[in-house]
Amino acid sequence: MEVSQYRISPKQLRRMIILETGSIGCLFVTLWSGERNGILTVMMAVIGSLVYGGILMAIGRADGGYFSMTERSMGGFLGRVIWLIYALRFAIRGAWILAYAEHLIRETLFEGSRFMIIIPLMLVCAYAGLRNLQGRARFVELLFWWVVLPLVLLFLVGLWKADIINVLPKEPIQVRELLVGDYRLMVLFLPLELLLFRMSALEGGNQKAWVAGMKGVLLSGLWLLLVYVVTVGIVGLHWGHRSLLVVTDAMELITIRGGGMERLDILMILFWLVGTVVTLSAYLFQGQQLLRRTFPFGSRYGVATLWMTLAIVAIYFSFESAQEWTDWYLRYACVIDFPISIVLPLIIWIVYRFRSRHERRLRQNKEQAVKVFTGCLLLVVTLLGLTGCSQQASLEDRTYVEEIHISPIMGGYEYRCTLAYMDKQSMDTLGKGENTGGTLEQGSGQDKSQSGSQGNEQSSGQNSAQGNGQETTSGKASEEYTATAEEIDDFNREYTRVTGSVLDYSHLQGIYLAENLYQPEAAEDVLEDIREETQAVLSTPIYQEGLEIGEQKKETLGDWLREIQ
Amino acid sequence: MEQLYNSSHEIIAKLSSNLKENIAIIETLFRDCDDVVKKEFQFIRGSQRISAYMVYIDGLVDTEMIQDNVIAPLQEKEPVLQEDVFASFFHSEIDAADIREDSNFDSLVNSILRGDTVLFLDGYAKVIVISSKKLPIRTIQESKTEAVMRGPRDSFNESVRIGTALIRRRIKDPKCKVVQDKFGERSRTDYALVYMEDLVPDGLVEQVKAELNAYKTDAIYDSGMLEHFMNRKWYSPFPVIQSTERPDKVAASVLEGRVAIVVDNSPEVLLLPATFNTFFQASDDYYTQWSVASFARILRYIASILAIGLPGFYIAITSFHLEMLPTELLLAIAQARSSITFPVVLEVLLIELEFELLREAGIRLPGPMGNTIGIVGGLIVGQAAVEAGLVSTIVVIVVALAALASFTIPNESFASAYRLLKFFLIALSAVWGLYGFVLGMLVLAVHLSGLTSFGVPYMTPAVSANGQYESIKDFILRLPIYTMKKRPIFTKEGQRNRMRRL
Repeated sequence: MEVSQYRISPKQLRRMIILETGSIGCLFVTLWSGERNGILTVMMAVIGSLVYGGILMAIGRADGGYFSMTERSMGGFLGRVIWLIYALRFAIRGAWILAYAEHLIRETLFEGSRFMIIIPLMLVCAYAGLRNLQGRARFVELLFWWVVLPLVLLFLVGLWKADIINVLPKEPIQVRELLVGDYRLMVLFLPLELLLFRMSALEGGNQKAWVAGMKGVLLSGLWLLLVYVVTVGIVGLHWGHRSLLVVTDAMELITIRGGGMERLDILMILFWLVGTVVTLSAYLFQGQQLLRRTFPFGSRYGVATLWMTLAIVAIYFSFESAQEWTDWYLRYACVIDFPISIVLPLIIWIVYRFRSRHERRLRQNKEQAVKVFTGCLLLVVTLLGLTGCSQQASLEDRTYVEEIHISPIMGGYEYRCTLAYMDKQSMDTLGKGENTGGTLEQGSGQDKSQSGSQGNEQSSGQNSAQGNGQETTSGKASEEYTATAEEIDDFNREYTRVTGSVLDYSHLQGIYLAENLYQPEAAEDVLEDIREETQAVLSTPIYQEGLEIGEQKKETLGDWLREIQ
Repeated sequence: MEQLYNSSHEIIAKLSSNLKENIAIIETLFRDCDDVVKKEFQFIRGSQRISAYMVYIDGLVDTEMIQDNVIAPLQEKEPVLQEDVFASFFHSEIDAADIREDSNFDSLVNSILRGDTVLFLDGYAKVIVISSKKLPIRTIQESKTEAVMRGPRDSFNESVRIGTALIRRRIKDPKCKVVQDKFGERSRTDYALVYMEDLVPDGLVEQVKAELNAYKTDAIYDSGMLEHFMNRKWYSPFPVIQSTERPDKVAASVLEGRVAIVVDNSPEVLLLPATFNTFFQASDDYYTQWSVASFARILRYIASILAIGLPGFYIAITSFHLEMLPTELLLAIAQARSSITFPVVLEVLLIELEFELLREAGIRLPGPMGNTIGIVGGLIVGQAAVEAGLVSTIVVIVVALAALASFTIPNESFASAYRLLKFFLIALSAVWGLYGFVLGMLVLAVHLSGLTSFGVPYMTPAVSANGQYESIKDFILRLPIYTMKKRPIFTKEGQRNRMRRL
């Protein structure tokens, strides 16, 4: 049975729409929706997307497809210019997604250099873009459930934690803000533009194609709605509209008890990354197809993919940070990209009604030199990426902070950390007690070691004389380390300087604040500092020093940061 | 001697009616071939003295059959008086069921080389070819690589004829076609295409023949070589043609519209097209309860993920994403690693290398020794490595689990792809952590979604083929047999119904 290389099924189209539109769109749905009108804005955008998608599907399905229609109505040269415009716009969108993905990866998965992150990502996207339409449809179909199922489940679980008051529109509803927010959210549905190029490849009759397309648009819209409700419901309005990583922050706050993983959200970010690759490679694939139509090297998939990849990377370097990129992209998309996405097809469709031109085929160029150049370039960039081994951390070279106690003192804070070990024997082996015998005072630059704290199990300073180096009934052992510093980063650096080990806060079980610090306003600086410098998980409990467990409130770092925002 | 052959190593000499000339050619062709028996003798028919010349290869023919059914009748039978001696010999005097005449030198020499006996008669530019094969072959034995708990025990051996017979025994339908041909200019290895005339998709048999005719080579010694000639995606570690030793699996596949290629001298029969899913199907899945079979399938799919990804995932987590581990586990790993000098990745590679060496040594060493090596390696060397502080216990567990998981995949060449790609993921995870791990998995997904086997998407039924998902009932779950009313995607359209309730 020979399967056509250029036909896709309605189900495949639906899945492509959901993944390509939903995976990136939902990361910005809270950021761009406007604060006041909440869920109303998103709902209007979903309705708008159905209209937008419907128009694009109708044009894409008309008379042999968009490619054919454009080339017949606009002629060869103008047709090529139009493809080039499309390719450039897709490259810009790709660059923005790349910038955001790089930011997301750096903040959550891998703290390498820019190159270290984007080179492998672009190589994979280029490989994924190097397909025919059928191969690409199969790729998306294969990944569909891997991405959708865990994320939808997580956000459904997150509904329990969401405060629905946060998402309701605030009275009185301001129509202007509603419309502006709605228009901005329409930008998130720009991947629907790819429908123009796919509708003609769809198997089955018009009705099936329409149903599949509209279902896809509706489902991706509903997905955005779910993400909005859960995210804003959990982190609140202010935070929801400020942070670039607000959705992943919200995921961090959705904890599931009894799991085998301490940080479930990391896994979810991985699934999200897959969705990002799907969207980025979709633009790369479509751009590659457009370039092959535009330039004489025509049928060479590899060369066109290479050019498209280079274009995305080149544009990506236009801005330094993801924040700058996002700010610029929103303005560009609202003013230029989105209007073009609908006006251009409409013009072509109208012109097509009056004019018809012969189709022109594009020539092929199979120059060997280009292939060699491609190979060498790929080799070089691959080798560049291999420098990342230096980013590895040896887990035995880290010291794991279980609790941190913070008290304000003159000119800074006193930090007292409880360091966890498997058992007493492990503490003897791994512990730094013998090296850290003293209180370190930030700013003086000198170790003011005190002689009374020698011995392997004690690393104490002045406040840690009791309870240091103990073994608990469960067999787990801990030691304490105390120092004063202006900021947590100074405290960490000092510890590393003295012991050679790195403090790791990934398993922090609680933050204990002194009584006079136990207010969100009072602890604002120190908590933001901790979050920024240690990447402590947002669900970390915050306790008041001196109170019994039963007397403590159920507050978390995320709750306080939300309040501070 | 060169003038006897053309550039394709075909014999271009013509048969002559003069026996002496034919003998001269045969003598030239089989010069220094001491295993070829060439016998010249005479018969008297009436007043005629007829010279004859018999050629066969010792060891390939049944000499008793030649003596009893050919030579003895010719010498002892009362001659039938016919003017045409050749016709008399052919039709009435030789007592053999399978005889034919041949007038092409290349073809008759080929018959001799395959174990037939050729009889030349003076005055005739044609010969009598008597099928007298008695090849040295292994008896039918139980498959060692595809053992089952329940189901038939027979497996193919190295004879193409026995192979086709074992299939015929299971499909007693004249629509089951067996088309035989040869591959290899010098080895002239027989192979047979077996397919159901009404179920195989249009053009598939022609496509297979075209693929086979696309190359000319000296010889093939196993179906594995034929498989490589047909595989256009040379860079893919995943096999796109399935191989099996089990006749029941071949019969079932042929009845699903697939083509089987039985190759002489090879106990492995090729099946095509093949999909990712077919490599997870074991024969006894269909002979046991559907719930048990489904459980085994799920286990195999999970095992495949562990086999390919577990070591890489472990490296990524322990080197980059410590925050994901539960605190107690993290502290336990830290303690276990406290005396280890090497970084995690080197530790994993070291123990992986040990496992691969053991595996390779276990195959090459004689049976009982191979088993011993496995035990010695697994228990003693692993334990010693831990005690010597080369590796930690948890790494031994991770690598052993991945190795064990790879053995649950029922097809060896498919499992080998997993073993190989495991190292690819280890490398990516070592450099980029979970980010690299996910990118590696994505590369695999892209690669697999682009693969096709003779037009069928490799990832069917996880992805649709022409919008169809019919094989879904025999995918991760093996649903009850009576629910599988339709044949899978391999079958010609319009012929998909295979069951009806009466």
